[in-house]
Amino acid sequence: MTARTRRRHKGRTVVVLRAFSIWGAAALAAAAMVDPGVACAERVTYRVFAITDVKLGQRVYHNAEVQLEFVGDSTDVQPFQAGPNSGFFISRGEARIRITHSEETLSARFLPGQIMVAADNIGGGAGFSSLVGSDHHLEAAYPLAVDGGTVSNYNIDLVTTAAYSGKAWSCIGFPIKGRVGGCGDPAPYPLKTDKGDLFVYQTYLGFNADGSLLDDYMGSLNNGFFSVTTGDAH
Amino acid sequence: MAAALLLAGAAQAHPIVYTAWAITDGRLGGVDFRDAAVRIRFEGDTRDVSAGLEQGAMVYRNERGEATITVTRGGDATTARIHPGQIYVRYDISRGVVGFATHAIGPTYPLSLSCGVASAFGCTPAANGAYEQIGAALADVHAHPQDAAHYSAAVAGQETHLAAPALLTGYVGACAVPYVNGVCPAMPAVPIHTDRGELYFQDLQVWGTGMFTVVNDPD
Repeated sequence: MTARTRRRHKGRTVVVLRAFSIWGAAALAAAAMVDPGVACAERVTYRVFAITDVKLGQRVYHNAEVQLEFVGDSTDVQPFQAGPNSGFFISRGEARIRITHSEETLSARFLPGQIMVAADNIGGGAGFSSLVGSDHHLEAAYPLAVDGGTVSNYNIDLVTTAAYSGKAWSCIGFPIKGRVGGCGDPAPYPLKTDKGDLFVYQTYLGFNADGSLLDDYMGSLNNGFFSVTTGDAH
Repeated sequence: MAAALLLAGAAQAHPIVYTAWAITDGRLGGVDFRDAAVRIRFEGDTRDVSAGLEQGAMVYRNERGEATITVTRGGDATTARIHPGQIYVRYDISRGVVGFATHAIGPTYPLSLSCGVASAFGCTPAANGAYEQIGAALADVHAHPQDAAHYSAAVAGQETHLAAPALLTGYVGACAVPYVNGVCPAMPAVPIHTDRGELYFQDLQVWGTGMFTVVNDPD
């Protein structure tokens, strides 16, 4: 259980991402350059976990155990460059959510094209991002991402099996530094699942004297985990 | 500890579950685990919650219950039952330290969450004095009620005496001795006994964060 598995993705291409803004990056477009190589496909499972507030369908769950899971292929992991920030992301795969509350567990599958997993190795965060709204803009830390803590190790390639902890964010409008009142209302941005619309809330926040969020790390008082498991995860 | 006070009367008593989550390191049944997702779950009853002063701090305890540990690494999970009396639940509301303790080793081992009291990482408050973890924020408000303005309203709602539902967060401490350069330097000499063998923690993650919940047991 002590050995780390390391399997680099070798299928490479050039990608331009629109509105790919992660942890402090304000750039609206990014070009990722990689060398073509021999693909070595491996199943990769990503999970992010937190105790938080969610609404699925018509039911609201307070302080529920929430785990998001995304299963993809290592050859679909690609680097990104967004302004000063860079890292890796994967957008092709199947995503689901599992909610446990009061000994009851329910699961839902995300409809395709909404969820991506990203690791920003400059900003120091990783987790599940989404494309929401009629303009399909990217929300870097929604529905659930983690920064600070051990996830700020700036070396997450999304293909190496590892687990990290840090601050949990379910924040519309992240990065949020300086915004009064905290994160935006997720109500206009339902995530579509086979069990109805999903919303995840940023409940526990810390503020400056003027009501603005402490910053993009300290501002969340909640914690969460992010993990990458390469190979058979079941 | 000063004279402990049992808090909950029989009429109000109900089953309760305490759970802590962390990514940490150690050994279970002779197998080392590294960067593993660890969950410790303790099922008890609120009638067994006690309170008392420990070195000037108000501390709540629940020492009677059944505990399990689950260690997950990748897709592999191992669950072990912790032998009775090996660990207990402890919440130092004055210092914002919550987790599981042992009589044999100490009040912050095997697993505690804090803002530096038990962990390797002592989080510094913001310029206005606000803290970045729920446990520390509640301790802040406990000492300075006006500081409630530093936090969203839901934070105050997490106040618990180990008898009401709550979410508490903090930096992970899982070390029997003081951290050295941010790393736990050694495993303890005394193990925690489980039905899967001996359990030790030796936390190697300086900035690891974790969660602790108190949940009413519907059973």
